[in-house]
Amino acid sequence: MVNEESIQYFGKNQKLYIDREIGNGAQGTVFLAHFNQHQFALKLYKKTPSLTFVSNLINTTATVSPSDVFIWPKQVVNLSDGNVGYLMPLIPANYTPIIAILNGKRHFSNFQTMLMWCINVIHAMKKLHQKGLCFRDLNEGGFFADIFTGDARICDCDNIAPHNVKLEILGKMKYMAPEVILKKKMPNLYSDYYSLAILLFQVLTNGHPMMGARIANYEIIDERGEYVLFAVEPVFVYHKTNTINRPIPGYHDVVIERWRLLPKHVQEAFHQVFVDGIYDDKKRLSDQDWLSVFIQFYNDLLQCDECGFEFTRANIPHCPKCGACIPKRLILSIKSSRVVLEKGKMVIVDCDVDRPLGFVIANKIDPSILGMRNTSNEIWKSQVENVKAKDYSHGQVLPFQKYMKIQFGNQEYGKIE
Amino acid sequence: MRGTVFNHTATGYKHLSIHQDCQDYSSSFIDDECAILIVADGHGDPIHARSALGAKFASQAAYELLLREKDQDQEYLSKKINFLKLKIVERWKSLVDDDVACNSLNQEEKYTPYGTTLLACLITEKLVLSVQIGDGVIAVQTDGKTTFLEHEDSIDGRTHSLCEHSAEEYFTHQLFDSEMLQGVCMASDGLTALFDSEQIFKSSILNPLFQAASPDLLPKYQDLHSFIDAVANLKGNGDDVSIAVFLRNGIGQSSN
Amino acid sequence: MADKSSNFGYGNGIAKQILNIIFLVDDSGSMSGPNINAVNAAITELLQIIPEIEKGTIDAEIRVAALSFSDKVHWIQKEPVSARHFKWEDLFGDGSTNLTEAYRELGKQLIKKSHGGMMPDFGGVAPILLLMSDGMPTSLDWAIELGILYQKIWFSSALRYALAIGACSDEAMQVLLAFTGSADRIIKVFTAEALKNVIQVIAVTASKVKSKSASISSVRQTNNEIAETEIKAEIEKIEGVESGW
Repeated sequence: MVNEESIQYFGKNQKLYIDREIGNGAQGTVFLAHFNQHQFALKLYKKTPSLTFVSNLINTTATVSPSDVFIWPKQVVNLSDGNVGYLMPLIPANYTPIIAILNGKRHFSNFQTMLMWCINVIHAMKKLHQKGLCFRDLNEGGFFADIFTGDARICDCDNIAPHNVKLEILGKMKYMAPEVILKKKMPNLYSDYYSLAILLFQVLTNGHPMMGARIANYEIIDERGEYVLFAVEPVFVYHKTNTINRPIPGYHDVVIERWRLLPKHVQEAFHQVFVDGIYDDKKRLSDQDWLSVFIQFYNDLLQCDECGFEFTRANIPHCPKCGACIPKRLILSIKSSRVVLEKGKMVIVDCDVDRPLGFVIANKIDPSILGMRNTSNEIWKSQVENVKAKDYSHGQVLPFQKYMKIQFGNQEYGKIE
Repeated sequence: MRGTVFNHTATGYKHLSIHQDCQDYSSSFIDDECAILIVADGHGDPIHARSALGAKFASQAAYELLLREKDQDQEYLSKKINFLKLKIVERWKSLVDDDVACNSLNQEEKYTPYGTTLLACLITEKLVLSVQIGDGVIAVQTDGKTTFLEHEDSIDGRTHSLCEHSAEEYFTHQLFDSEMLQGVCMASDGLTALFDSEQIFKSSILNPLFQAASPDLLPKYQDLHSFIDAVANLKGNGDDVSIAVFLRNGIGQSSN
Repeated sequence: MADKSSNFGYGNGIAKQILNIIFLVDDSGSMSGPNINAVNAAITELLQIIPEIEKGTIDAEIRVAALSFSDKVHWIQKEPVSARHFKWEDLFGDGSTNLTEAYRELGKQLIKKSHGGMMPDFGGVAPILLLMSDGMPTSLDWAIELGILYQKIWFSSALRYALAIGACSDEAMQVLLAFTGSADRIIKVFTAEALKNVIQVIAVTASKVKSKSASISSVRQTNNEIAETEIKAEIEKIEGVESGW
């Protein structure tokens, strides 16, 4: 059943065709819509939002999106029946909702891809925050992933607003910073940092950082229960000294297993946010801090060729899971980064996620030989002792060799160890 | 006439890449009594092979006919407007006739190859009169508020054109008081196609334009010109891009 | 060649809280015929919709239980199971309306599993209870058992609705009111179609709201209150239905 509406667009009466329902959330329903010869998603609010909210939304539509990762609101619409909503691009079909991944129904192609997704999300948040905006209602419902490439899309952008602005929706308790739940502060940059940390913890460990053994103290976890668990007295499940909220064996097995395998610096990062940063919002990790943490994790990751297990200690000669012998991995050392060279890995320097240097590919005939495709605009020069220097331009593949020195454009030098 | 005018046209990458002439034509004029803005967008496809000229002729026709009405008031023009539309079409056709005769072209369907849209605006101290056939936008800043003038420009997705039979019936017009007028901006659809939404077009182009009424305005014109040149090469639908602007609180009564 | 998909330890996803939907169905003689057939059809259809709701949340897993009552009481499945695994047994309507026994049995089960009941030991969400009946209970001391039920948090915090099927006397309505605690949560249904729609609206809407983490807005509302508001709006659109009393 297609409804037709007339919308003023650049002075013309344009037809907006509202097609079938494609999503349903707490705030509104999402429909497939046709407008101005394109297909869009149209979100219509269940309850008429306040003037402040609509005004903020109009400002959002007038702002250029900080990153392609965001499914940015394009146009606010007022329908003839009084319903209010907005048009946004459709999420491409190759994206999977993070809910399905957290539910264990779909999986990233490997852990390396999952980390790339996290890096893309953090990077998008960084760009949003750099514009003086905060996401506010950050929760798993708005996040999508290409499970093969790690590309990300984030929707539900209608609550995005400048820091400290007062709007109705404050968020979902599971993700909200304690000071916001307790209504001491309005959502801002630091509460976004907190919510982002919760999401990253959930994706990495499939658990919630504040839900461990303490949930057994409650018959029912209702709003009052959540209030205590998340705001009044939150206790990190892996608090170093306070062990009352450890994950429950038999119920939180995935969390226990995944946490154990996280590198120390990642565990420390979560501990800082969820212990030191609970009430002291300045102690929370910023987007830049998270980028460093995750890029280091990503750079250190390697995969066992026998069983596929992914782990992060490059010098261990045997796979921790199956015991197979792991040939010593080549490492690209560039500036302060040390990248374990694995097929499919993007090489990111200085946390510049938008402009990776290149990505690692395996030789088609002998997959044990790795090289790097130049995705930059610079010409690379490789130098191996006793061999003439070679140039590699955009699109070409540089094959790695131990002790090779590489000049990436003007100032950057790397070497293979 | 108090105010400043300027206009700019850039060839779109669609035409650059096939070495085709720019099909847009824009012009602006100001003197003691009035300002006139014109944007014409020739259709540019093989059926309308001479539409670059068609656009130029449309600009000339509109300019001649609007200039004659600069002393009139709203009441008079509201009665004369349909006649004026007819006269613009006839003048355009006569310019085409001259060109056809000079170049010994095929006499059948002789107006079609020159097909073009036309946006034209006359601004005096008393009134604003705009006429439009085909796509493109006219935005007006009045008393701090920006609105797009209403317009129906197409049947079945094809834009109306001066070369159509009874083209004068497909003009829309707006006639209103200019007392609170702060600015007028006309743009071909090649420009609006560069922006994801009406809101972003307003905030990126219109708001800075209408709000920047100050003596250091001129550098901003050049910024806008470079911007249009740059984006015409990169984004949107590759179409030619034109803009013509009138600003009330400009730096003087310059004319071009 | 090893399967290259990482076995970093996926598991089955996030450990979820359990949201129970419990049906209390009057299986007495007066329900036999179109009324009980409507219930059978409605619940069967509902069981197919529930997995779709679960796809949209990471916070809760939905389980279904059904207690039929006439002379005796009978749990259709031994314990609450997921909608996918629930095998509905058609009811036929026969015997008296022993609401006392129904409440007593419900009370026994609204306790943690480790203490012999059906409720989860941890990670539980206040359940949805749906009572369906067409008339007066024949057992007279139901109020005593109901009083005991109210002392259990699983009951008092539950979202409780009652469906009055067909014409119900004032007295019968009083019984339903005692169960729901509010006249707004009593829905009178007059047709099989309406019954099916109402069951769906209540179960689906309530599950969606209650299966997600509490949302905070400047207007503080409990999840139950939010569910009620949304259910009310949806029920108004259904024909053959009267809500409130």
